Amino acid sequence: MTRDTRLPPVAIGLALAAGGAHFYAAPSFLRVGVVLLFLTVGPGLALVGLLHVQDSLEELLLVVGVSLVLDLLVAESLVLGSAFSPDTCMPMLMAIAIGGALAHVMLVPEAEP
Amino acid sequence: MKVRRVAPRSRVWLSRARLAPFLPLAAALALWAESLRRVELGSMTDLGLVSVLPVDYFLALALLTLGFFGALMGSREGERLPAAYAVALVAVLHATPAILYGTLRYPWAWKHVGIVDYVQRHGAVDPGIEQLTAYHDWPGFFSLGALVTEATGEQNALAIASWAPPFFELLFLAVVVLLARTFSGSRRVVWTTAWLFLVGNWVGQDYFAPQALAFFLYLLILAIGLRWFGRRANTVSLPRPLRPRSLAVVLRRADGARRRSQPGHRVGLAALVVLASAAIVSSHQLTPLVLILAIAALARLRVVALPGLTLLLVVMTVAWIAFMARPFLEGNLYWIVDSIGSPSGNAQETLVNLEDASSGLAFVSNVDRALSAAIMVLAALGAVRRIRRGKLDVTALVLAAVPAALLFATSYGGEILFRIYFFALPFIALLGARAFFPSDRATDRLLPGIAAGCACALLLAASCIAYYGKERVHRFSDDEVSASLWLHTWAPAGSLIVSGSFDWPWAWKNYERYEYFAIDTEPASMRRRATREPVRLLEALMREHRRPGAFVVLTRSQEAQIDATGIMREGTLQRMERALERDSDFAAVYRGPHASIFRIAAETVR
Repeated sequence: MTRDTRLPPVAIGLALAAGGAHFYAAPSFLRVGVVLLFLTVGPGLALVGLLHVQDSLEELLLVVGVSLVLDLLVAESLVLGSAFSPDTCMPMLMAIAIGGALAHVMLVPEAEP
Repeated sequence: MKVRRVAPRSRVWLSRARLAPFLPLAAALALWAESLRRVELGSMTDLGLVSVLPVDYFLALALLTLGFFGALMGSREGERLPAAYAVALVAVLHATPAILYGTLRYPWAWKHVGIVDYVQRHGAVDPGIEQLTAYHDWPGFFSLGALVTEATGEQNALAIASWAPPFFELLFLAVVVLLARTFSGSRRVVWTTAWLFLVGNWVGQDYFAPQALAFFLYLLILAIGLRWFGRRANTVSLPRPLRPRSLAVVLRRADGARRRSQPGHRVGLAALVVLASAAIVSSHQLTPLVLILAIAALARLRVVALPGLTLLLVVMTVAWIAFMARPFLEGNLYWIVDSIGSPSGNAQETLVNLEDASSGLAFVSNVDRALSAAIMVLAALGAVRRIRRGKLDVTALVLAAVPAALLFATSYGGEILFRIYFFALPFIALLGARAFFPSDRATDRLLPGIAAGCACALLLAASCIAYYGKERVHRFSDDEVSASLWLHTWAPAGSLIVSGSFDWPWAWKNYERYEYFAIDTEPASMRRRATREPVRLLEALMREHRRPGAFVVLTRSQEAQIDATGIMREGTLQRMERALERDSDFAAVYRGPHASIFRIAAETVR
């Protein structure tokens, strides 16, 4: 399994785990850990995978940068619309992460055996 | 027959050899952990945290420096070892306060928690709000803070904010390493840049604040621009003999290696740049200006090819200010206009008046000025050494110089010199690393590494004093936090809250229900009156503000701030407290070892 094919399942798994921890009020330490990890890398994980960045540090920074930017813009747009709620933000970010991962699976050609 | 498996001697030797460079790291972390157990925070003097940290703590820093430069000058290639040391330095420098204090440091971080609290309760911001308007007009970071707080199930952002400095410093470290790699292929240059950045970053802009996130995104945009949209080399070979005309020809012709990438990937990266710019523009007032200047300069020099980005940034920034931040602009236009075109006045506002300061604060201020100057001298030396080798680091020089233009634009509430230094620091550090390693070629000479290690050890010692030197004011005891919690829970809505200074945990809960007032921000005549007749002054204030109730909160951290800066006579707050105790119009409603709260009822001042 290459790094390119590993990313989508990780992104989807993280999104579902964070959604579960948030909506089903998981124990505090678990919820804090999983949700923080998702918000820090989740939305970026699948999207940056589409860019096929070779340098690990560059890829990590892009993943974190994209994730934080998307978190911020989604939350801010709801705040400006006077409709901020984590129960709205989280599904939107999960949808971005899962949608990006699915796009990754569909757009990236399979490696030659 | 059983065969005993014996590991080959060479593999055992290899594993020992692999582990050996990590020994100073492990010893440093053990010393650090041990040192934290013996800190008596109550004994802190006006030299800050440095005055109570045991010797072990400084030995840990010395070991980290030794191990880091030993790893850098050793024969082993690879990034893991220097990276491990750099991450450990971040932990030792920036996690120490979070571990020791147990409360959020920096009074201004508490305000930011208050804005997050507002968003949590209202699901919105109020751009026209009277107090802390700027935060409501640039709400990006606080929206993210509210999301993180709510999604993790926390009641407020205090716990998350306490750990913001190490989190942001790790992000800064990673992006500075990436940028340095763009400029040099030498791991010694790259990691010395990172180390210099960490030891030079004493200005405390890594806390729970919009500028920390905006700074990370600013550096990330520059890294993407230079690495993926680079048109020319960041360094040019100088002609001999060096003449301005021949230099101009070289600058025009210099070609850089643009990354090979598919057009679709470049569109994706350009989209990321635009989204990150939007996040910056909607989160922070100053960073968009620096970003515009930097991108415009790089485009003018034809270093990066991101056509239209400068224009887009200008349009986004102007549109945001015109449509979203108009209330702030209307309320602050007078000082913004005053600041324009007066660089010396803007610079002067940043500097502490050392004539009135305590000896401790004066010492700390002199050390932080000397530290900044030393790093800039190293950068100048590095640039000169490069020029003597026929290389001009055009991009680094431009990006180090560009933030200085802000001095002509704004005083930024008396913080502009700190901010300019902060924005320039990654590139100053890069040029500083060139003072020790002017060439990218690997060399067996140990002298540059020893010189870099000694210089960084000295700078790190100064950095501890500069970064930790004001902790007596920046740190709050449990009692000060309890007093603040009591006040923000029980004070009736509409109350006036008067304090000696804003150096206490204020405005972090239900903040829009109160009006805050600090005596030390008032004109000298009022400050003198606070010293002479505190009770009459407070009664007059309460009449003037026509509030249903008023509270006076006096804390140890406020006393420390006022006594250190000399803005009012030493002991003013203690005298005020005694006067309030004697006056029958005031009732003590909270008494603790580090904080007192007095209440005056509205009927008293009618």
